[in-house]
Amino acid sequence: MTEEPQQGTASSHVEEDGVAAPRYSGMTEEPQPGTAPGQVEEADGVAPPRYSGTGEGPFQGVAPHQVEADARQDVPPSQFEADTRQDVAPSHVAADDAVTPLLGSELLNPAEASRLLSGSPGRVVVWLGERDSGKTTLTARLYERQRLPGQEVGFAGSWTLLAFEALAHGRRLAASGARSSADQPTREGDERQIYHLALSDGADRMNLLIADLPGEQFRALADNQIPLSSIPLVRRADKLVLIVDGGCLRDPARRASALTRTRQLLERLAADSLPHPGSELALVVTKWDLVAEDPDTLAYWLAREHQLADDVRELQASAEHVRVAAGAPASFPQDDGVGALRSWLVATPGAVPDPPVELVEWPEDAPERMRMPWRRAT
Amino acid sequence: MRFMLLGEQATGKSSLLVALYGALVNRRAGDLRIVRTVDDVEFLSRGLLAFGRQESLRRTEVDSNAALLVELARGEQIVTVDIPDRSGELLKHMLDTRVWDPDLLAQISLASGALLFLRADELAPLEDEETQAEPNGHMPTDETQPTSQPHVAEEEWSPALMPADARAVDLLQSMLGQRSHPLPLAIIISAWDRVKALISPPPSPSEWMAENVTLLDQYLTSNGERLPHAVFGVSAQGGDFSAGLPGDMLGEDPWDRSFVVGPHGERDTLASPILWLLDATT
Repeated sequence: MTEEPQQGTASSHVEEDGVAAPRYSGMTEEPQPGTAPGQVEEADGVAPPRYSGTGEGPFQGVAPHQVEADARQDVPPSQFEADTRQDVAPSHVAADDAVTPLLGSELLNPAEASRLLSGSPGRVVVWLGERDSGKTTLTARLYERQRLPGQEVGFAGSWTLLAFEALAHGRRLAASGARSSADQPTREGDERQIYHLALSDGADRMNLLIADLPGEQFRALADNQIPLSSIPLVRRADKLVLIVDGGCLRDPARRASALTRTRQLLERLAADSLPHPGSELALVVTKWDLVAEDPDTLAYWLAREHQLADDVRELQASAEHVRVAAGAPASFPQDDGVGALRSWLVATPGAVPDPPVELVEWPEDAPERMRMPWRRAT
Repeated sequence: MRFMLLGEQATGKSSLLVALYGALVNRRAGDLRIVRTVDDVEFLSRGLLAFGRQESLRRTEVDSNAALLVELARGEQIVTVDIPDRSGELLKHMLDTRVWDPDLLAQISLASGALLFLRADELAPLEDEETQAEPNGHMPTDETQPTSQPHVAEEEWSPALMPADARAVDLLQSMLGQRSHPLPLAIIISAWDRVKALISPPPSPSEWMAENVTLLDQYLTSNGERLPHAVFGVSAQGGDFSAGLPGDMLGEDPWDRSFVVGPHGERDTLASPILWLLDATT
């Protein structure tokens, strides 16, 4: 369960040493985070919400300037998250004020991501790729990269630190040859699909909100089984990344299909007049080490790369093109491309309004297998 | 002023308290002097006795509810310093189970600052096969063996498997979520004698952290306004008791063996992290 590996993993710790049971679904059960004990307590011991939200997310339809954004520019993610939680489930807070969960245990849902964007500059990143195309590895590697010394931008925090660490653990297992239980795809029906990574260049902080959407959605999108409007995160994205799976390119039986999928997605984007002004597009070839080390695969790709890149640039002339070997072994002689991808992700093309992130809503006519039941942490 | 000790098991919290107390009592703390000892210091005395025997602190010698509570004079200034020792196991349990320890939660907004303890030989592979074979042989093992190393062999992930630097970031993020004002933070890299012995020339503690504890270093740099900090290398024992102290240390008293290296590599007294915190809070 890569995308939410931490959920439910602590059930065995219940009542250990007299400490109340841990619940990794802390995003909705924070009693009064961000508030010094005793500072803002009401009669019931619960800090009042700061925002008067409506609907699925408190900021739906509320302009950022109306929600105290100015005061939050320098507030670190944890503090911000703390504020966020006060709105999310006050009923849960009231139900159990004896324990205070720690932050950072779950992925973000769109409402929480929206609140972050309302107060701090951010980029919504959406990987457009099929299952096993390397999306999760890209996400993990962006975090793990910060563990290397000498980075141009520094790690400034993460609301989803534990989720990143779970991904990193899966990669460590894979590197050690052990089977990883933390490398499963994202499941439909779960609105907690957004990783958060705050980076800083010393002066400015940039929040990357990385949507790890199920690959099946993109297959359905490419096959025109669902409209683009059913994936609001795609329309909201500041950075749309079209992924070509280098692993597929290595397989003669699947390489043509990989190219076709990419062009199908291009067509869908064009039909919906995407990307919007202010959002950016990139073509990323994942698992580049697999392509580079095989002469046949490399020749196949090089013969088609420019044409595909040109097709992408028809949609957006400034579209980036990056080869990434995020999962390559240390012996891979080329640059892994993660640094270039990160630079593109944090780059600011201009003023971006940061509107809210909307919930994923499956259309009624979507195939049944796409509309799996709601899943929550246990 | 109350300063929190933050650190998991065997990160040198109690050893620093013992060495600091020894330095204060025996006038090895620079400008700082004890005016009055407020609380019971029996466990600190026992710790000094152990150091005098060239023995590391054992778990049974550490009282998890102990504290160093003294009135200190610094020139004309008199300040009461309260440094409660905290069980590393409690902190580990808190991070693993994702539920705040009520006592720590209550302290966060009240504390003037904190000392965050990390173990040099846990965070960076220091090439010494003999020590690798005896992980408990060197350090001022306050409590049990370190457990915050990532255990790659285990299949199912849990917070307990996070590396020490990620756990430190996790703790600090959570603390900032509970505190509205800056938290001055002295980072204590314990077992600094190991770094000094095995890396030539030895880096400054700040350089070492930037190289070996990158995630935490970047996090602190990026959040410097809310987490003003300084990094200190500390050797509470002065060396490795199990391997035998260097000859020139054998005749020295515990408070003369112990040392602190300041953020930029300068050797200083055991009181320097406390002095830095006092300056940072005024």
